[in-house]
Amino acid sequence: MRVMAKWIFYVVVLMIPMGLGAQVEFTAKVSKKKLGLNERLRIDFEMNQDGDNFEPPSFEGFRVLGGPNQSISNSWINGKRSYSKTYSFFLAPLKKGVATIGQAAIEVDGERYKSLPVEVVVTEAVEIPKDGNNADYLASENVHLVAEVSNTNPYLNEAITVVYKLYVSNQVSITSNWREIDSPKYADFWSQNLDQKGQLQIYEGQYRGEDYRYVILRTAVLYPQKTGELSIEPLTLDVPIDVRSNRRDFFGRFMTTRVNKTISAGRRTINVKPLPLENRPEDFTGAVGFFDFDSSISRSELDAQESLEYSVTVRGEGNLKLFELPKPQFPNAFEVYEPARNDKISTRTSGMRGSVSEVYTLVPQNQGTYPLPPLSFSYFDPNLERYITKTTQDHIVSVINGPAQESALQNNERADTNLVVVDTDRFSYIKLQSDWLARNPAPWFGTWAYWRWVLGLLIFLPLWFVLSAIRNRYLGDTASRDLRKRKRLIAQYLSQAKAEQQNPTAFYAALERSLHLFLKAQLKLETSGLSKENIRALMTQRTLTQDAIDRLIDLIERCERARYAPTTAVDVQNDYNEAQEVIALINNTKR
Amino acid sequence: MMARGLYLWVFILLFAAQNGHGQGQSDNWFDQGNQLYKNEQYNEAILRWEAVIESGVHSAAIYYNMANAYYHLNDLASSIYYYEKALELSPGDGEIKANRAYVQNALVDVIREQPKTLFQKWDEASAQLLSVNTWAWLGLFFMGLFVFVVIRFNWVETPAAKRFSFVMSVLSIMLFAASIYLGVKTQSYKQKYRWAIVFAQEMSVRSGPRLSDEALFELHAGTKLRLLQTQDEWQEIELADGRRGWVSSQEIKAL
Repeated sequence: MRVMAKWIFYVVVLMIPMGLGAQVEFTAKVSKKKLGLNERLRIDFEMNQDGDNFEPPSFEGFRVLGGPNQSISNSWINGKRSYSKTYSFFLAPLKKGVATIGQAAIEVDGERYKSLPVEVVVTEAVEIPKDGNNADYLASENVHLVAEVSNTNPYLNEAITVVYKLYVSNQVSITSNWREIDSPKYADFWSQNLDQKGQLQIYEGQYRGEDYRYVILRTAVLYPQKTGELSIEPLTLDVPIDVRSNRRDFFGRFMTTRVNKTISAGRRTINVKPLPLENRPEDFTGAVGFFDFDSSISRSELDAQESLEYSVTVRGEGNLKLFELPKPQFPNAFEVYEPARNDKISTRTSGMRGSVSEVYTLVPQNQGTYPLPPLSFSYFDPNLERYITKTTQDHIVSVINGPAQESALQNNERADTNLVVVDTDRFSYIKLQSDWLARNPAPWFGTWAYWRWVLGLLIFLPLWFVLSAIRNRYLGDTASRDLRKRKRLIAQYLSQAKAEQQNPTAFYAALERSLHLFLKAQLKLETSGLSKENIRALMTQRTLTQDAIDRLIDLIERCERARYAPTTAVDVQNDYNEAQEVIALINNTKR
Repeated sequence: MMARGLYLWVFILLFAAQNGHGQGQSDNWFDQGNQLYKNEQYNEAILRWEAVIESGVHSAAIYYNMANAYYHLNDLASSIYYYEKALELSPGDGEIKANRAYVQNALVDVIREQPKTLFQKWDEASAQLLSVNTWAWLGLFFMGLFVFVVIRFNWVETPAAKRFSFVMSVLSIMLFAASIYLGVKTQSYKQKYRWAIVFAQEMSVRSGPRLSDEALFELHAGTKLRLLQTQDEWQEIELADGRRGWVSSQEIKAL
C-alpha cells in the first residue's frame, strides 16, 4: 500500500507542473510604446487558454483601423502543447500625449480574466512612419542604393563616373534578383554603361559608419554635353529583401520574410563648368582629355593614278568619340575618297581610352611635288586647365610619272598658252637673262609733266604757221606768190632769151633751146624725139588743152622760122610774152 | 623739228644712263642667285634675288625665278605670289603660265571663273594690252606725227601729197585720242583691280569685318583674290567666281 501510495505521490508531483502550466495568461502587447501621430499601432491580446466572450477595451484616443483579427496557434513541441489565441487590432492615434489602452476581458472556464492597461506615448508626426518590427521598415533601414559621382564639378566634356552601389546590412539578405523599375536617364550627357559581367562581386564596406556589404550594380561613364546644373535621373530598383523576423521555424532557425522594396538612388546634381574662353585655339573642336596627335602617309613617291593613304590619328584618354578629327586639305590635283574611320576605344571607369584615326585614300592625277600642309589639333587638358595644341609635321608627296596637264583652274587660259609653244610636260627651268625695269616708277601718264609734252608738240603748229606767215609777209602776199613762182620758173628757162632780146637771131635760138629744155624737163622727152608730131601726141596724152599745144607748136615754128629766115618781120617782145604765157599755162595745167 | 628731236634724244639718253646706274650690280646678284638655284640652295638664291628687288629694279624673269625657288621649298603661297607678279610684268609668257599651273595643281582651292560676255572680255583685254607707260609714249608719238603731217600738208604742193597728209593727220589724231583713252583705262583698271594672294594656311571668309560675323567659306594658301574695300585690319575681297567676303589683312598679301 505504501508503495502504492508512493507511486500515487510521484504521479501527483509530476502532474503539478502540468497543472501549473495550465494557468491562464491573458496579456496585451503593443507593437511600440512610442509612436508618431501619423503612425500606426498594433495591439495583440494574447491568451494561452481558449477563452470566450472577448471584450475589447474602448480604445479611447484611438481609431480602430482594423480588427479584431482572431488567430489561433496550437503546437506540440516534444510532447508539450503550446496554445495561443490572439485578438489583434490596428489603431491610429487621434491626439498627442499619453494614451492608455484600457483592459480587455475574456472568460475561461467561467472565470473572467482581464489584461493590464497599456500606456502609449503619442508624439508629433514623424517623417517616415516607422514600425520597428515591420519587415518593410527593417528592409528600408538596412538596404541602401547609392549613386557615387566621381566629380560633381567637372568641365564640359570631362569624363565623370557614376557608380551605383547597393549597400546591404548584415541583418537582411538578398537572395534573388532585383528588377530595374526606372533606368537612370542621362539627359545632356554622353553616357556609356559599364555593365558587370557574370556574378556580382560582394565587397565589405561602411555605410554611415556601420559595416555593410555592398555590390556594384552598375558603372556609367558620363561626358557632360551642357554647362550648368545637370541632374542625373535616379536609378530605381524593385529589390526582394529577406528580412529576418524574430520567429523561428520548425528547426529553430529564424524565419525570414520577403519584402519587395522599391529603392531609389536619389537624384544627383552635377555642376558643369564651361571650358575657358581665353586662349581657346581656333581649331578647337571640343576634345577634352590627354591626347597625342599624329599623321602619316603610306608612301611619299609614286606615279600618277597610283594611290597612297594618309592617316590622321588621335591617341589618348578623353572624349574620343565626341570630337571631330581635323580635316586635312589636299591639293586639287588629288582625287580624295571618303575617309575610313578606325576607332579602337575601350571604356573604363576613368573614361574612354584608345585611338581614333581616319584614313584617306588619295590618287594623284598629275605629276609634280605636292606638300601636304601640317595639321594641328587642340584639346583641353582638364588637369592643367589649359588648351594644348599639337601639330604634325608636313609631308611631301612626289608624283614622278604622269601627265602634267593643267588643272581645271587653267581652262580659260590654256588656249592662250597653246598659242605660245611651251613644253608643259616639265617644270621649266629659271630664266638666266633679265631686263631691268624701275620698280615703282614715278607716275608720268596723266600728270602735268605728260601734258606739257603733248602741248610742247602741239605748240609747233601755231609756231610754224606764225613763222610761215612772217615769211609770207616778207616775201609778199599769197596772191602774188603764184606770179612770183611763175616768174622764177620762166626766169629759169627764159633768162638767156631775155638777155638776147636786142638780137633777134640769138634771141630765137635761145628761146627755142629754152623751150626744148622746158619740154624735156616737164614732159620728160628726149631731144632726139622732139618732132612736132611727137610733141603733140605726148602732150595730148598729158591732157593739155588743144589751145596750149597749138600755141606751143606755133611758137616753136616761129622760132625756127626766125632762125632760118631772119629777114621776116618779127616781134621779139610779143614772142617773149607768148613764151612766158605758154610755159605758165603748161606748168599750171600739168598739175 | 630738229630742236624737238634733239631734245627727245637727250631725254632718252639721260633716262638710259639713269637706268643703267647699278645695272651691273643687279646683273651680278641675279647671276649669283641663278648659280645658287642651280646648286639647289634655294633659300640663298631667294636672298640674292630679293636684294636685287630691294635695290629698286625688277623684271618678270626675277619674279619667275623666285617663284620657282619657292615651289622647290614647298612654299606654295609665295610661289603663286611671285608667278602672279611675273605675269603682271609679262602677261603673255607661256613658260610662267605653265609653271604656275604646276603649283596651282598643288593648291587646295579650285576657283572656277565666272563666264564673261564678249564685251567684258574685250574690255579686260584692252585694259591689259599694254602698260600705261607704253600708252603714254604712243600718245606722244601720235601727237608728234599729227603735228608733223599738218605741217607737211601746208608744205607740200602736189594734190596727192596733200591728200595723203590730210588722211594721215586725221588718222594720227584719232590714234592719239585712242592711246590716251586706253592709257587712262589701263590706269584706272590697275587702280580698280588690285590683287592679293592668300598666305594663311587656312582662313575663314566672313560676312563682315568682325570676328563675330558669320564665316561664309574657307580659303587656303595660294588662292588669288581681288581686293575691294578696306576697314581697319579687314579687307573685303572677291573671288574669280564672284563670291565676296571679308578677311583679315594679315592673312593675305597684296600683289
